[in-house]
Amino acid sequence: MDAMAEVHEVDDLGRRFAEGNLDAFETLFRRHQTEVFGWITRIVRDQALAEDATIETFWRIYRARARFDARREFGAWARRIATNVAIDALKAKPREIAGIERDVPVAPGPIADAAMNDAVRRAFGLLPAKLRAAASLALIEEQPHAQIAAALGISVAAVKSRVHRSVELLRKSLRRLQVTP
Amino acid sequence: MKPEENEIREMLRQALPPVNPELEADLWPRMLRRLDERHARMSWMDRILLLAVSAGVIAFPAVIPQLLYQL
Repeated sequence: MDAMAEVHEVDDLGRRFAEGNLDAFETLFRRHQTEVFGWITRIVRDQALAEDATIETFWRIYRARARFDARREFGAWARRIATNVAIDALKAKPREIAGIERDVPVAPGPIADAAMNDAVRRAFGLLPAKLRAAASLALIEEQPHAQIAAALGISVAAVKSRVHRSVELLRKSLRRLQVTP
Repeated sequence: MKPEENEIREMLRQALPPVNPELEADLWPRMLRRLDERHARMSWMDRILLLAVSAGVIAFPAVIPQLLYQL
């Protein structure tokens, strides 16, 4: 298929999807489910939760089909919705995801690796969902800031600011838990 | 990346197990079930709404002109 034909096919698929054609939706779902699932997994860091969030993402996409502009890139639009769904999932289950008990203290004194890792997980789980998403994507997964910005619907500067705030909050939590970064 | 960010990143990487972003099963069958559930739920709600409107019209036939005007 040449480039023009491919563009035409994508436009036509997007248009049929926007009109409510279920076959077009299935095609888009099958093309993008892996990418959407991977993106959500990088944010929520839990495969089962990511599967549920992927279904929720495509459900929201399906409901919003009439607003889809076929000239836009479906993948970018899907990633933006997926990010919102993932953040909602983090808000709904903040402690279970990171295996965190907010009120359990870390024993004072020299800290072993396992206890250190536990403290870091706990501090990470206490971050607000939006900051956790930015920190997970930027710091752990090393996704490009521009891509994170597009997915969060904010500027690159705002992404950097969120990452900076995450680092500050993590350092503060770790100091409170008597872990020195 | 700033040194303090680097430090925290290393700590996070050690503490949080790596995730597998590969999808291991096709989710389309689950998606179809979700679509069916929602469609079934909508038609059930439609039925309730229809019943309510019908009951209202039977009980208060005087509202028919007003309803037609709103349409």
